[in-house]
Amino acid sequence: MNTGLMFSKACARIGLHVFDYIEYPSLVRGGHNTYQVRAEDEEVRSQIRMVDILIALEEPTLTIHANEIKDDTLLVYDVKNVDPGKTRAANKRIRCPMPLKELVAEVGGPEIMQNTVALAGVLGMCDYPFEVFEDIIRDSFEGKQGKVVKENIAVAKKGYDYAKEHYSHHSHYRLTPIKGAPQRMVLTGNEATALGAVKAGLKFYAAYPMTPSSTILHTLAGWQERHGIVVKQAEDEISVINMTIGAATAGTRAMCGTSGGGYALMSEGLSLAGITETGIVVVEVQRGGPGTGLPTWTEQADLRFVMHAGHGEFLKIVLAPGDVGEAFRLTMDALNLAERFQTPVVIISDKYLGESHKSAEPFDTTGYKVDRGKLLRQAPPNYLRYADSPDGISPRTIPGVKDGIFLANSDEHDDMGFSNEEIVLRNRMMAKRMRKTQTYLAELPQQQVHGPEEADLTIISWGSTKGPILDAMKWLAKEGFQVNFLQITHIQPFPVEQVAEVLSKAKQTLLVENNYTGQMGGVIREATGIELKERLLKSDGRPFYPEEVYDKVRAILGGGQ
Amino acid sequence: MIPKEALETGLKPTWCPGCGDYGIWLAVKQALAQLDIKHEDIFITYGIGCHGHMCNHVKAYGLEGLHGRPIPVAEGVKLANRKLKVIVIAGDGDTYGEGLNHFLMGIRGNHDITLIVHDNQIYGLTTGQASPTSAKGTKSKSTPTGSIEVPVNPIALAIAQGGSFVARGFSADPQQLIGLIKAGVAHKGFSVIDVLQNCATFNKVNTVTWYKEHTSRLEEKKHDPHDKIKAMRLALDPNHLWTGIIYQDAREAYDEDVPAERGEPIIDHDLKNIDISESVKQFM
Repeated sequence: MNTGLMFSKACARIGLHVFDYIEYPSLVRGGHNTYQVRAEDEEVRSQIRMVDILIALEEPTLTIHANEIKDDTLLVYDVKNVDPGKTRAANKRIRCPMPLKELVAEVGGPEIMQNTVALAGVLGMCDYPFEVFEDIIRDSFEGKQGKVVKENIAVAKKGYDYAKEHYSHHSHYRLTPIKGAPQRMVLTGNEATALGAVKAGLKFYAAYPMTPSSTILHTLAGWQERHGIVVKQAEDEISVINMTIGAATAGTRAMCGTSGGGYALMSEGLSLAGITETGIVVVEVQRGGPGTGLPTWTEQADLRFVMHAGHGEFLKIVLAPGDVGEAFRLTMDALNLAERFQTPVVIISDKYLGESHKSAEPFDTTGYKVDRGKLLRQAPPNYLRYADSPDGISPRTIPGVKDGIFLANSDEHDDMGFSNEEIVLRNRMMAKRMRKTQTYLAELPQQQVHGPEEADLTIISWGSTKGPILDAMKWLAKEGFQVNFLQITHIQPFPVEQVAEVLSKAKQTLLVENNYTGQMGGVIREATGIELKERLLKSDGRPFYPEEVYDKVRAILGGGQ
Repeated sequence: MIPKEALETGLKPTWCPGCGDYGIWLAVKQALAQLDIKHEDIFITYGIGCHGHMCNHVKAYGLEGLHGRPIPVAEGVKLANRKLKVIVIAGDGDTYGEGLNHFLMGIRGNHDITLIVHDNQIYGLTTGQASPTSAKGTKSKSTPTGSIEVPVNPIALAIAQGGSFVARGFSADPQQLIGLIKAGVAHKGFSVIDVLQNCATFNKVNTVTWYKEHTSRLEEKKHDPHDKIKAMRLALDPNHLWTGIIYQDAREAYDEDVPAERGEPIIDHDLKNIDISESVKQFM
């Protein structure tokens, strides 16, 4: 566990709501890394621009982040290593230098412990209960020798006491336990996806390492014994999706994960699953493109690609979670949908959702049922795998079932699966497979509209922008602005009627997307004929800050009421 | 034992008269019928090429996938259900061209599947282009002045990469081929059976007569298949295409070392009421 996550967990343990956001370059060591934690006594869903307390382990930090430092920001830094006077933060007043190296040396620990000392210092100056932090240190070094834990606790105590003594009076922030607060998890979208998959009965996961999707692989690999999951790192994403198709054909719940470049390699496999009617789930955690692009940064520029990848025409369901709770829930749903509709389901996420931690109470799973659709463990007489049916979905057996033999065939095929290119048969099979779209649309859940039913402005967005939008709406509501937000989670097949209805009622609209061209805006125009003229778009690799959404809405609606 | 007629689909093959695919098809069915396995426990994946049409002519659970990809599909099937006997029917383009990476990685992992490669040194279904096993200088539609690359040596590659069962057969020697397929399926691990075959329409050089002149059966030579260096010499022999089991050793199959595979096959796990509370705790 890194120091930033320890701080997030420390805040959550005492009952605060937490959101954190991590920036790091595509390097193994070094470069400029930041870990921003936002903690409040009300729910937080995004990072904000201005920082209350800044720990600067290196001098350049104070220059790079000068615009995020307020007059009353507490600057915590190593007294020997960092001199604020030499930086763009020179005029900032509240300085909390700490002898990090010396404090570590007093305990005889390695230099890396300076991070822990600085963090403990912040906790000290905010009156955080030290014994809770001790527990976190114990948890984070679980499995390591007792000596390591003892050293870390000792060194933390040094930093804690030093800062409490010297800077307690500087800090107007108090990190004290909130009585009666529920216990909350601190987890990323990727971890929530892994957790949802496990709960929904995932038994096979394959992946090729690719930032920012790899933590799904790591999380599930760590659980393979506890939850009885086969986790396979394959040679490439082509193999990944083909293995997943094999595992699903054999009767498991199977999923794979990647980012945009790996998804490109999976395209032919998606198409294969389309014609063999194999239910698989693919998670695409987007990063900045094109090409290798911005490997460790965020973007929502793969929307059209995710929707349309795969040659030929077939039903591909696309779901877009907006926070950790939805990542959990939609992953569970995706595994049901894949098996019920016997077709690929793609969960589109991004680095911002996938790697940012948010606090959340343990997810409610009541009402969720594993639904494997038309799965047969015994074959009826004269069984035919691809028999026509009113809803387009044919009962399926799995290998090992007596008299249930089928051929899953990437060539067009007859009811048994044997190759067949005749016109009548082809038309019937196309109609059968495409009919699944109508079956799915009939049960499509209502897309959420957050905020008041009547609003002066309707924001339209999808995916990870949900956090900054909702946080901005909270500020706007306090100032009397009537703003609501249509969040599209079920992207394909597109909920045309639902979206058209909301938009036709909207007085004004604002499209918010983390990409250059406003891809969802294009999808909406194609589906409804409605053009969303006001747009807030960015493609610099950074997520939206709620301030940006707030400013844009203020610019449209004016001075308020 | 599976009655031979149970493996018939009633569909008539569409291969050209004289095609080597017939011999391999008959050998596959014979071998399956002679093995002590349940019909429903066979799973066959097929690549794309003339060979792939065999999917319509063997009645067994199967998946005809995409060109080059029958190996990873088979690995996924086997990992999901260890009880199945998984066989890959592929071509030389599939295995040594489009899917060479999967070939080497399948060998590395020693997944317990049997790979039967139709190796006719030409792309037949796409009407006659050079294949990865075409001899240097092969004149074809795509190489009218002769191919420039040297051929892939699948036997040497498989041995070098740690193959645990490496064999070569010949489509016109069904008796030997049946034995190789049976031995390959019985072998626990990744069994490579490269099957030399003629293409009656597009390869006028590597004909049945040519193969008869250039192949030698290992059964007539005292060969210890556990001797890796000798096996490699046979694989690299410029004068003979040796047929038979060239190399074999025993090592753990992939699924034997997978933590989740220690109990019953994962397809039999109960998916209802999965308890995630321990995993939730680690986020607290």
